[in-house]
Amino acid sequence: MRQLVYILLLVILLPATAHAVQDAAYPFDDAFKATVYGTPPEMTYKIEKPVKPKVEAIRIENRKVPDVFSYSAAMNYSKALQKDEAPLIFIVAGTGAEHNSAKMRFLTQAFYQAGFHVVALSSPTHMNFLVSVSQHAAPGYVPYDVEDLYRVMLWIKEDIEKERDVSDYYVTGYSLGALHTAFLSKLDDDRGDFNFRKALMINPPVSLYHSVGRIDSWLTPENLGDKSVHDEIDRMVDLFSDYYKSAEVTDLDDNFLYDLVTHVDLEGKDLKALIGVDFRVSSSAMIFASDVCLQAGYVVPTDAYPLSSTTPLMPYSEVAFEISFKSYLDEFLLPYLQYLDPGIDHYTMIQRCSLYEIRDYLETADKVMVIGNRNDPILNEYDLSFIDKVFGERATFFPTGGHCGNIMYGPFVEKMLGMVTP
Amino acid sequence: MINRIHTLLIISVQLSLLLVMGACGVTTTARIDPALTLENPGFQTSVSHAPDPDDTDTIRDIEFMEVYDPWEPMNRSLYNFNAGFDDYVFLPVTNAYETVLPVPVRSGVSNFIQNANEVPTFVNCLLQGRIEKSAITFSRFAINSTFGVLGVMDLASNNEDLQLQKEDVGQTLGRWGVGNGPYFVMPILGPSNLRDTVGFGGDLLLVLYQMKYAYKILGVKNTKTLAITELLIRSINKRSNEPFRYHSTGSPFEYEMIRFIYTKRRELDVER
Repeated sequence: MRQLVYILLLVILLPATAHAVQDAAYPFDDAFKATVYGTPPEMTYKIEKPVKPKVEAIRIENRKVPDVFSYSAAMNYSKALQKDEAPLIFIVAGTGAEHNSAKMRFLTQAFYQAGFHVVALSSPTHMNFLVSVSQHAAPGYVPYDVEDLYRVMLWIKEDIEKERDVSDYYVTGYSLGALHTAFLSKLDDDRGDFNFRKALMINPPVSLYHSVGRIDSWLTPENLGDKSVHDEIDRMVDLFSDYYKSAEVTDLDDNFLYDLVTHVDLEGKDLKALIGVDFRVSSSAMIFASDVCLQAGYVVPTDAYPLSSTTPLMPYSEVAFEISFKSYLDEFLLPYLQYLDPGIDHYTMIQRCSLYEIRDYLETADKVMVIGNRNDPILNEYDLSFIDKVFGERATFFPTGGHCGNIMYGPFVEKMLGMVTP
Repeated sequence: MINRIHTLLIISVQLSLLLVMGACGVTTTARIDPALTLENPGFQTSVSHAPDPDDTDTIRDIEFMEVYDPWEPMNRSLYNFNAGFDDYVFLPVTNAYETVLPVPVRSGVSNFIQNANEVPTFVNCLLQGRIEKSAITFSRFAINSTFGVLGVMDLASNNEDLQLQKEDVGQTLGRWGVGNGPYFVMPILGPSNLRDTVGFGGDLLLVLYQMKYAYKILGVKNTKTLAITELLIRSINKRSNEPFRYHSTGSPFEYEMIRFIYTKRRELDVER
């Protein structure tokens, strides 16, 4: 009985833990730690009244969606509309991310709270987008991807204007979505459909090709030393398993994932490898989906078609995982682009997927702005000085935060919102 | 009296389901654009990475994800069936439940069920000879059943040393040395394997036995209606607390990922 009273006292005296340390400095100085760990839950920007975004879908009539992707025939997006007239912001996801991924959910809430109608779009590199609405079905070539995005955004604009008054249009995106943002702004200036008031690039790469090259390099022998990718992943799975066994967890939620990566002692090269593996998971999904849509014989041999919804896919998953993004660009995307338009060469492809392509525009377009981090591992010193030179005052850099690691961090979010709200 | 309340309850739940079902789900707009019909452009890559079925020597980077799955074609069909069932039945019903009942009521229901489930968990902890887990589970049940008003409030979880333990018959069998057996996708219920499917049967028996015992104590006459209602609410509550959505990983290899994660997690759950 005494023990019961003791337990009861403990229960009553221990309040549910909730810290409020909004103003504390961002804790991870190391770029790779920041990228992997993200923002500690108690330091994330507070969303006072979360809105429940609606998921909507767009389907193209008579589109020949492969059977194996029948569940992905319509393009899904999230929308959260204010009750009355408001400005509308489109958010474009980063590589391989969906409209309702963790970062996208957060950005949707943050911009909604700041008074925007919000439309969140999956990245054109996400399988659902590619399967359901992409014209050429081979993502990674920015001019095509931006055309696809632009077309979808026009349709959504048309639908939303029937529902609500929209005062102005804005566009933003993080990572690859930030690169898309710049090109969308340029395209809109040429065509005049949205007349974007502001275009905010969050953690953009300068050149898609150079940035993915850097990420690819983290899975090469130079980074991994004597270990193979297989051994490295194996080791990490073991580390995480040990943590899972020892920890008092009952739910595999976001907080658990945060605890997991922060409690398991990972070295610099492990963190790099983890980012590399995460990227490969996205790119292998994209490569496989693209190959199946085009029946190009890259991963799935042509005599294996038709794939049905019951076909085992593990062998394809294994080979697709081992294809670097750079190999995809060289072996699949470039030949395909040349097949469609013989004038394109390797240099043109890379140039058109970088901010260099629209440098003149960016130098004078006051509405286009950048927010990022000085130690973003997908940027090198040339990229940073390019952004400084081209954007000048319109670029804001935090000293730390890695690649999108501080995207939910209070001061970063306040700055970000301040850049688009008048 | 209790019967009449139940009839009322069932009718009102059904009514609200009808009302809400039309309103939820994804609205799809169709668009026409002849340039977007995905006609085969006739392009072939000169390089091929196609898997070679005869090559069993190469160590693949992610071959650790392979799981013994001799019934794969059937399992994939079941997986697709479950995804459809989720979209058209399970989630609409769950959404209706979430719309009709406010959060405090739902968390009360959820806690009540969780508290009732401490009993089968306790039995499994004992069967596995795990004294500490048994003690924690027993304390939780004692605290929540009394001070937590029959389990409606989960006070015990405020204490770091009294966190919820999850032990089921599948884990007990695993603890006793029974292997996974082939991977199996259970209709409606989702990822499992032969051992855990048998285990699920055991869990269900424990719950039914517990329910029968509780009804006897409460003096309920028409136990059939009540039992069906309770099982329905338990299922809806379970789905409502489960954030997983089919085809939401954004990967064409979702089946493979889920299969691996399920298998690995169960392996670890048996060990810990």
